[in-house]
Amino acid sequence: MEIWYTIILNPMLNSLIALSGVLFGSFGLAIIILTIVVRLITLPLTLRQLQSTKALQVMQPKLQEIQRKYAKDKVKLQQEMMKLYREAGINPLGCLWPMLVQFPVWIALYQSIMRAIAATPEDLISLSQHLYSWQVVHEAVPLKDKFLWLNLGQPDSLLILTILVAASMYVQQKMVTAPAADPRQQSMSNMTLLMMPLMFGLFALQFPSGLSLYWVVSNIVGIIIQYFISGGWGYLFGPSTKPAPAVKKGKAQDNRKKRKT
Amino acid sequence: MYVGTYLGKIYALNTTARLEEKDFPVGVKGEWIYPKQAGKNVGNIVGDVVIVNNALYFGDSKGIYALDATTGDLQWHFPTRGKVWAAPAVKDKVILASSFDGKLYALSSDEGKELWHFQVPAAIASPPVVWENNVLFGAFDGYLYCILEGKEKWKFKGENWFWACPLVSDGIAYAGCLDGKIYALKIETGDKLWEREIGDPIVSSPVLVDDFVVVASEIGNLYMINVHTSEIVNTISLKSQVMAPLYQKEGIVYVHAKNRYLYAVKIPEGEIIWKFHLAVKES
Repeated sequence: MEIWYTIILNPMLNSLIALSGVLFGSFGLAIIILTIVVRLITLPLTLRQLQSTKALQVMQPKLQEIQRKYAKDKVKLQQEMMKLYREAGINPLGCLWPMLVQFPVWIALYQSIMRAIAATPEDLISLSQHLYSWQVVHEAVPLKDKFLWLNLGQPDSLLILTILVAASMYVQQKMVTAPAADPRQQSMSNMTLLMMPLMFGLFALQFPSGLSLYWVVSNIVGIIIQYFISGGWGYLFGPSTKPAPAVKKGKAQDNRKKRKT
Repeated sequence: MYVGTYLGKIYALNTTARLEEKDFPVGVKGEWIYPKQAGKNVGNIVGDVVIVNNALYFGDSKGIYALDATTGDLQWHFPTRGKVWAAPAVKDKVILASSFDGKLYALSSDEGKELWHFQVPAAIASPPVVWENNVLFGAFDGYLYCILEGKEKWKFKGENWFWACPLVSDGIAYAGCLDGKIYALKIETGDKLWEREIGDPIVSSPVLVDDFVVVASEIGNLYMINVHTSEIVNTISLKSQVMAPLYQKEGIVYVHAKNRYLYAVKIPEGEIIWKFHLAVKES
């Protein structure tokens, strides 16, 4: 437990409070900035995840062929699939790494928010034992728990964040999920697409809105990264969302003139 | 007996009426509740109430109040930008109150008008204490401040917040700190006479019994420290968190612990002569 405090929790807690002190006492702004910093630090992992996901989609026809060929031999099926992944240089679990790395960040952030918004004398005294000797930290406490319409230590009673968490997570996932050729698989894929956003939406109903704010900002940053890496909205609006190449004005007019004459 | 609650009510209780278990409030016995209206509360009241010349003063999460101690009627309210979790001090018709907005306020006792304030860069949870016109209080920036006539006289740096009210006696301030130390400082100059580490945060205000300063750590250990030698002469463990201020009378120190027991401890022997469970009677 001491290791958790020393290496993860206390640095995050003190960074959040110091950021709040610098950002005019706004804990909400501090959460937003910290989220962006965490996403930038995990950008290499995110890029690998996007590459893995894309490569897996390209491999789908070959994977389906192997599944058809070895449907009755599970052992051989596994071997052939692993062989295909190896030859393509893909780790099928590569898309999980960003999630796994962010998991302790979520736990530390939840604990930091609950400790930092110390509402009772006991909470404040407990907080004093986790603070570094930085003057900016001691001068920032106690923190304001209000940000916009939110009480950062309580769930959002207006449900706006709940909707934003679910919607932003759905958009982020849909952008990178190719539609399945088989209609039965498409239905499964749709269910999977909805499951995570619904689950996190439910979490947002129960956890402090400070944590939900982190999820919304994190998802939005993820969407922006995906947009620029993929060159567009991906599969968000359908099978192909890349714009058609623009036709040069002069050439089109020439073509019309030729047809008239 | 006057009691403030975290839920934002002040109760004036007549001990005879309570012993007779009469319906509260018995107005003819001087009992009242503030705010009077059912369902209406002031902010959280954490510090003690103070009574001087039939006026009752207290702070809550919104400011400082003065009530008529006989009737419970509001005399004035002074709003602050931060919580007032510490009991105010009263000296020569001036109310001194510390706030989480980093200000020590000096207000006139009759009208609640601001006479002056002293600003520090961090929140103040420590109650102010007065010694011969010097006002001492601790803040979250780790300093114990001494103010004279509204100006800083000196400040002393601890290694964490000063939360407990300093004890002052014979020109010396005994200040417990959340860094787990108690400091003895000369009030005139701020010079440190000695410090004694007890290892755990000190939240509760210490008391003086003869030549011993008695201090409780947050985890419930009671220490008796010789004021001349700074040696710990005795220690007892109450095995329960102690955050409430200590009280002493005639060589007995009374400690209210988180386990809802009130302990009476003989000093300097450190013997618990009785303990009483302050449980709520369920009907």
